[in-house]
Amino acid sequence: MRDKLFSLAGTPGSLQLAFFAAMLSVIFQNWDDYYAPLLSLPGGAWWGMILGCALYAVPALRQSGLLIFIAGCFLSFFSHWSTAANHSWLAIWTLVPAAFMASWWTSMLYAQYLRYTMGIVMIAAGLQKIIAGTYLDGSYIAWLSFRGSTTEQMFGFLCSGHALVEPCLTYQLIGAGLILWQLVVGVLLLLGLRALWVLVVEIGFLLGAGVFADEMNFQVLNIAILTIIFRTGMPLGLFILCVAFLLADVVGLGEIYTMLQNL
Amino acid sequence: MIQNPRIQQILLFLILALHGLLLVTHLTLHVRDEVNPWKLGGYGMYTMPSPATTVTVIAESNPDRFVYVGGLREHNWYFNWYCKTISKQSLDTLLTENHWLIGEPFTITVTTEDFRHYPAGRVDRVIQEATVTWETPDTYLLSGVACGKKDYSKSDTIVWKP
Repeated sequence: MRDKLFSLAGTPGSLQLAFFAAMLSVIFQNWDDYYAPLLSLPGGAWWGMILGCALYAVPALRQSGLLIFIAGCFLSFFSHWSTAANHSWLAIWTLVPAAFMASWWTSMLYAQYLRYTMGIVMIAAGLQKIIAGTYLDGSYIAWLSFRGSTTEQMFGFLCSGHALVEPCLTYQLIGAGLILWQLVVGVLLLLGLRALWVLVVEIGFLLGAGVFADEMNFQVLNIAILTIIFRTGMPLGLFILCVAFLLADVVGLGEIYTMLQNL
Repeated sequence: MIQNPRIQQILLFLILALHGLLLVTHLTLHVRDEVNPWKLGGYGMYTMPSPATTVTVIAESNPDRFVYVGGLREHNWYFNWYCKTISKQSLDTLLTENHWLIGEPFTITVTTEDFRHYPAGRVDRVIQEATVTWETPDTYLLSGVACGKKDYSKSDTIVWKP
């Protein structure tokens, strides 16, 4: 059991589990569509995704499940593409091509495609932060620390409230560090470095960022994709953690924290 | 499903190239402050607080009357690309949703929120200003400025009647 929980052997089963986690992240991201009428585009597409995900869990129906899920993804995405968040776009770019493959989990081509995709995404995300200028001067970290939601205020103790008026070096260093890390990971992915320590640090970074932003869908999708790229697959322990975060995300970590405080 | 590895390779390359092109375009638009960094396929979420966009329609003769702008927003990509000029289709939807505006001169103002670094805070910025006048009872002239520099004008005749 312990082997299953933490194994990084990259078996077909653990790669499938990673893909399953990615599918779940998309379903949880579109959770609001649950409230839409079943026969409407977002509502019907969401239930289609759930059906696809359920079928995907049955080995004999895996390919049909994947195709139904992808169809649901497309319909859901195109009904609100102009307001779609990063997560929805990344899911389309990364998960849809798997439907073209007879067995994506054995395909090095698909893993390579994901590696390049994540490489350019990481670099683009880093460049967006440089262009905005809000990380290098620390202003956005300061804003979140004093005006953000419950979890976003976790760095509030590092500088005084005056950081909203004048730059605070600590926030500037945090901002610069975040950009540097994203750019380095992006370049390493493009170069093809798949050292285990990079994966472990990146998963830790993604989980930390998810807790900070109180938004786990994007992080789970990223983690799932990275475990496919690194060919480790998703160990059962990590999968359980990801599902727990997705469930907590429905309520919100900040909300859970407040509820616990009020007990 | 595609069985041929060569075709798979070409297809994946094309998707990757398309993705890369979108990212470069989005970054360029972000440099020019012409796009909401949170939306339209870039990866600029959490580079600044999510900018809320406000659309205000004011009729010349009845400035206090409520105007529903849901369709106008939706058909213009929720103004997430600040330079997208107001489309005829969206104006048609606006008039469908607010019949009383037909024949009525009115203005459309769209604002977004910028992030001021220090002192840190949100500031409003007008990204679209347009006026609608009527050449005949059925034909309007829409003229406006998108993202502060793109002048445009469009004319159309309403073929439907409320």
